[in-house]
Amino acid sequence: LFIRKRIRVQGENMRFKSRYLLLEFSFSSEKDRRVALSSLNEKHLRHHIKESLLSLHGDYGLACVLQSLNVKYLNVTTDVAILRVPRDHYRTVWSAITLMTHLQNSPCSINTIHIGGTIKSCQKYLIEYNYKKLKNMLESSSTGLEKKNLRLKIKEVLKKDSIPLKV
Amino acid sequence: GKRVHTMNYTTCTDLYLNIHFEQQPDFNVTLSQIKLMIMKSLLDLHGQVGSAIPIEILKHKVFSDLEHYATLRIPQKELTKVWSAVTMLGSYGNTNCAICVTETPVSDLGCT
Repeated sequence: LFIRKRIRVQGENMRFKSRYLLLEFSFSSEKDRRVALSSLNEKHLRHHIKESLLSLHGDYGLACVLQSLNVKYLNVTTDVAILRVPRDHYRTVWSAITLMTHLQNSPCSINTIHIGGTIKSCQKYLIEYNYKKLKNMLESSSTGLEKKNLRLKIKEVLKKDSIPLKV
Repeated sequence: GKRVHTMNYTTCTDLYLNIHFEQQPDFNVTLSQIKLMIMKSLLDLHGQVGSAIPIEILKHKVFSDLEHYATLRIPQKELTKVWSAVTMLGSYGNTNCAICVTETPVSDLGCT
C-alpha cells in the first residue's frame, strides 16, 4: 500500500517585525545644541547611529540591524526622534544609542524615553510626556505671568488633542 | 570552571575550546600574540562588547614551527561570538593564519 501522508509545511512569516524607539537629545549647552541641530538631518542621525553600532557591536551587530534601521521622525526644535529598529535586536540598538557621546561633533546624550510597537503608541506617549513637562514647568515657575501663560498653553494642548490624556 | 549543581542538571559557567593554530613559515608567533590576534578578530566582528569577553589561554603546545595547539577558556554564554571570531581570523598584519576549533570540552579534564 502506498500511504500518502499530508505533511503540513509551516511557512515562516516574512513580515518584518519592528520596534519604535522614542529618543530625546540633551546637550550640555545651548550653543552646542544650536551648532549640532543646525545641520542635523535624518540621514546624519542614521549615520551616527550606524557608527556607534559598528564600534560597540562590530560588523555582526551592525549587519543584524541594518535592514530596517530607519529614522521615522526627527524634530529639531523639540529634540525628539522616532527610530525604527528590528524587534529581535532592539536591545543592541538601544545600548548603542545610550552609549553615544557626540552628535555632529558636539557633546550630547540621547535618552530613550519609550519603546513602542507602533509609531502611534510613541506619539501618544510623547503627548503625555510633554504634558507632564509643562505641568512641572508650571509648578516650578516663579512669576505669576509665567504661570498664566503656561496655564493657557496647557489648556490649548488639552483642547487640541482628541486622544484623552490621563490627567 | 565553577560547577553549579541544581536539582536536575548542572550548569557550567565556563567552556574550553581546543584550537589548532596554523601560520605561515616565516613568522614566529608567541602566545601573547595569539591572544592579541583573537582579541582583534573579536573587536572587528563583535565590537567593544566582543573584545571585552574574558579569554584565557591555558595550555599551549608548539608542534612544528607552523602549528600551535592551545586551550582557551571562555564563558559559556559567549561561545558563538568567540568561535565565530576565531574562525574568521584570516590574517594579522602581514601574515596569514588560520584557526580551527577541534573540541569544546566542558571541563578541563577533557583537554589535551
